[in-house]
Amino acid sequence: MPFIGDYDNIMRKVLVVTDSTSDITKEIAEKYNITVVPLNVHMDNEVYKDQVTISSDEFFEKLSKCKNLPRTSQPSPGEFIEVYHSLLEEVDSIVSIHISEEMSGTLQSARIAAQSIPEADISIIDSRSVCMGLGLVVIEAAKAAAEGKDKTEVLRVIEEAKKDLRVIFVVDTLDYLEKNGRIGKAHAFLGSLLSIKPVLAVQDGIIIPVEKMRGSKKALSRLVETAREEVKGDFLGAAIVHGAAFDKLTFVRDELQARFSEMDLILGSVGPVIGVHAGPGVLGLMYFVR
Amino acid sequence: MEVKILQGDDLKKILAGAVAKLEEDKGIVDALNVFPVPDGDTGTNMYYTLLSAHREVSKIKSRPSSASEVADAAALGALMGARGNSGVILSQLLRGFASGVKGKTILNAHDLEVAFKTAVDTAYKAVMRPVEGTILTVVREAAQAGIERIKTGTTDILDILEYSLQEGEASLKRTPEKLLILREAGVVDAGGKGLMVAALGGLNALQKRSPYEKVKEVKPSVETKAHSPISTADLEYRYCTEFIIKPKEADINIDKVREDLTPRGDSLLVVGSPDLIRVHVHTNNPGVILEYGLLLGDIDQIKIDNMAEQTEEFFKEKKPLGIIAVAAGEGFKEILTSLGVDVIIEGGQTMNPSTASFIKAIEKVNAEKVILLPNNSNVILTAEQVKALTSVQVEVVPSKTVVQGISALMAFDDTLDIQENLQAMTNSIKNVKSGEVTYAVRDWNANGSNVKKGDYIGLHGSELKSFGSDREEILIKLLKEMLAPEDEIITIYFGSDITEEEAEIVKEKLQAEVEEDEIALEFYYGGQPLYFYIVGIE
Repeated sequence: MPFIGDYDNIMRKVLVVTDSTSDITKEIAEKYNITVVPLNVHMDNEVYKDQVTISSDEFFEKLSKCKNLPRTSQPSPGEFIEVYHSLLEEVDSIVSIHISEEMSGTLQSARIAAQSIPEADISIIDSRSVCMGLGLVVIEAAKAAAEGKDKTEVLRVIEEAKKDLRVIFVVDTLDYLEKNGRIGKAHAFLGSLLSIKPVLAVQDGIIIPVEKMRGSKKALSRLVETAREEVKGDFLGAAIVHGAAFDKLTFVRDELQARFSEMDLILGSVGPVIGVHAGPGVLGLMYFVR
Repeated sequence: MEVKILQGDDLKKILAGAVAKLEEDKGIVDALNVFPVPDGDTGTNMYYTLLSAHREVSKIKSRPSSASEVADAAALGALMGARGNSGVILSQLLRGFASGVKGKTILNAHDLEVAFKTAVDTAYKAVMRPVEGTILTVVREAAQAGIERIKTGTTDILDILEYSLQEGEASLKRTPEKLLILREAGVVDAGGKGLMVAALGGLNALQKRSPYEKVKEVKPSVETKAHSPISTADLEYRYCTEFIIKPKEADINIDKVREDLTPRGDSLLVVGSPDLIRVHVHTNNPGVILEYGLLLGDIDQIKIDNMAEQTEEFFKEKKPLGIIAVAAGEGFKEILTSLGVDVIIEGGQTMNPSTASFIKAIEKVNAEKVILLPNNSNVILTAEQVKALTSVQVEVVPSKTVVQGISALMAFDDTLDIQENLQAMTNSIKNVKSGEVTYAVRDWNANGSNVKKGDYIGLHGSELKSFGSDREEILIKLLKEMLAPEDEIITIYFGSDITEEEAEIVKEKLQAEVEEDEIALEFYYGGQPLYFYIVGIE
């Protein structure tokens, strides 16, 4: 009998695919057998595969020297086709979960890829989220798949996770989101002559404004308070991510520690693609309201 | 010159021309990009997608290559190299085209007709929720025009493609009518533009294959009009005209009706059955359209709207929630406006605004509900009285200082209702401590301190914190008195009596004082009279 956490001895019926905007680490991807398809990062005249040929640290270092605004682009349908084909040799069903369609065309590429293999059973899911928000949903799905659950059950787990998911974050400046056209409804926060630290959230696939704050600590405390208000029991299956702002991550972790008796946190950093859009100094908190 | 057939090599030429033209003009296309994600890379993405298609095509070994071979290679290359949404749609157009010409060595006009159709169908199928006013619309209408041209018996492929391109350009011009976001930005659709650029490049390349007469270049006519709102004068057709026809004759042809009305306007819809036809058209002459309907039978449910007026009305619409603030000083007015205040009433400590000036401001803001920020303890009561004097729902956030008003504005959220905002904004007042440096207008004895007339005084609320003859020292003392360990930011708004140079000196001095406490210091021009410095600490 397999012991808990040993996922390798169970027959999988479903494999989970996501894209690199999920910002799940290699270790997590390996542990739960998740295939991550990278987006592209364009810096000056170089093209990198997100978190494959460029790491988060390398990206933020290059960002300061980059002459032009870096760009990102979705994987091509062809890249998804290759991934699906190779996975279909192992399983009959693929569940492919991705960044919100409002933020990227990645889902579009995945959908076209799935359509071009009509004989295969591939479910394309819009997570309506991004970053570790998407990552947490993917992990839930992969856990279910690793327990040997079938496609219907995995899809149900995903829907539950999407419903319970909260993503709230602070950026140093709205400039990056604005310049890259990902600002969503947070454009309401633009134009302020006073410097503000915007508290934002991802809701139903887009970025929404939560509150303008004066001062970084106040903004970070707001994240912690929101989590404390929304999560009734222990703080489990949650994540904190940072973009070149480790001090903020430790601050938020410590503040959470003071408020929750039990915690189970994934600590990570945002990858280059998210980094392009959120900018350095971003701090995000992702959790389930359960 | 005429072109009756396309060989594989012609398709290669078209593709190469499209790539070259897109490379040249991709910047123009990038600049138009506002939908679906305004990230300004549509042209670049389409270019790289076609470049990948071109690379795949150049790998073909067989000479001469068949049309089908070239189309397949292009489709594969585009699929592998597709970038961005429009790139993906482009790859689907190529895929559809390839499936339409499957097995063909050469293509004639009829083959083109089939391929146009499969290309458009495939692209539409690939998009979950096709949005009109995008590259999809442009390609559909361009292809449709080409197909119609072929149906009239034209076999000259150059003629067909030119006609198709011309209609594509017209369709591109109409994209802002179909998609609000384009209208607001004052641009045509970027993907559609990119497609037209590529098509033009392809057509020109094909034309050049003949040593004879050079067909005149079809120039794209629509360029960006960076971010001007749509003006009513831009409406090409003014009257939205709708009615139903109950035909006299039973054998009426709906397609014929559509054809007859097409030159009369745009946004034309003719639907229904031979015994009941619904007509919808934007036109400048509704009378002519109605006359036409009468020729066919009885008309009913006639509805004619002047769209120019609709647009104007739209712009006059009331805001759901407005904000009025009281402030003195140019700098403060700008800061408050940048934080969402609609109307500012001049006033403050020395000049308390009247209820009448509030009423006037409420009329000016033209909102269904209004939040007032008195920003002075002596004005709160006046603001409260305004509630009873107007039919507009008014709520007062009891801000005693302009610094509190700014803090309240931080919590404003126009997606919430007035009560929720009132609560959040009132709570937010507590987040900030306000202080000010001014001078004593008379001798004053407070808590055993003997303040002389003309002394500079530092106040926190109504409490005297520092006084003396050195203005900057008074400011520093005041700040020290107010600061608590949890504070993060000191914001200083300097008044109209402080010069830039003076402000600079104070800034440097203060910077040195607070450096080790990791406190951020921000300086803004408030421009207020009488108060040399107004400070907020949070």
